[in-house]
Amino acid sequence: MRNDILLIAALLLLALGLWALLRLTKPAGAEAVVTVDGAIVATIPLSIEARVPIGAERGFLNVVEVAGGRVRVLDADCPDRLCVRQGWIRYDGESIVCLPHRLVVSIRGGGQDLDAVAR
Amino acid sequence: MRSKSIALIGLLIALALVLSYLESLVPLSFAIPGIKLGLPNLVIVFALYRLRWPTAAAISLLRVLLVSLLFGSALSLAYSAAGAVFSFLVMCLLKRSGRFGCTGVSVAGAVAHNLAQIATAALLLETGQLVWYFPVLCVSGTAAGVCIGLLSALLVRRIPEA
Repeated sequence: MRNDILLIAALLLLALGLWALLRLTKPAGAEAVVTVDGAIVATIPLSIEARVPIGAERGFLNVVEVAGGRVRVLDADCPDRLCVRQGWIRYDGESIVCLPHRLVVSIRGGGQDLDAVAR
Repeated sequence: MRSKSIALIGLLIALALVLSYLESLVPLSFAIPGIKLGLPNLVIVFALYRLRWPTAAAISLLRVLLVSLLFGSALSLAYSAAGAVFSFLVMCLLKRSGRFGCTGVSVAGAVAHNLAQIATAALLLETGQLVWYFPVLCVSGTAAGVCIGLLSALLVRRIPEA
């Protein structure tokens, strides 16, 4: 029972430590990269204001909106619409995932990215 | 195999199936996909403590297969199987080390499940940025694991040896 409590404490500390590490090392991003099935379909600089519909040629719709240096999925026709509910992101390394459409909006640029940290 | 243990295994798989279905009716993931209570793990932890480990492993794998066939897709099978296999390995090792109780085993299983699913998603979507989910899912998995662990400790204590 004592070991159980130690394990729980260790896991919570690990989560906190990892979160703090990720938080401290993230710079604001420079551009939003939209990928479908791992392939880049659009790259939008965060300095502009734009609404970009994605996926028309594949038979689905995710509207990616860039405004005020942030990006979000404004609207989507996926069943759960979790991508829309994930809201705005602005920092390097943050991402919005739409699993049903295999679409990922991620932010990169503006300093070292997570891969550089991991290396 | 005696017919009594066959019946028991069938019963446990059916119970795990019903718990999986119940859990799918109550979505806990509002903003962050992957947060869940892990009700079926109740059955797996119980089986781990009351049956031999290969039997418990079979129950876990059959549950995942049946749930994906009934309610899921090939993609959801990949996620569930990765979660179930890794979580079972971790739970089995911790249990056999003899140093942890039901709660510790269940907590480790829950976090291992989340970790394996994030890793699978990162592989399938080809993005490393899903590490952002881990701190959150680590906390939610720990909380869920404590609930399930305490419940299964209660079950193991109350239900007599078969």
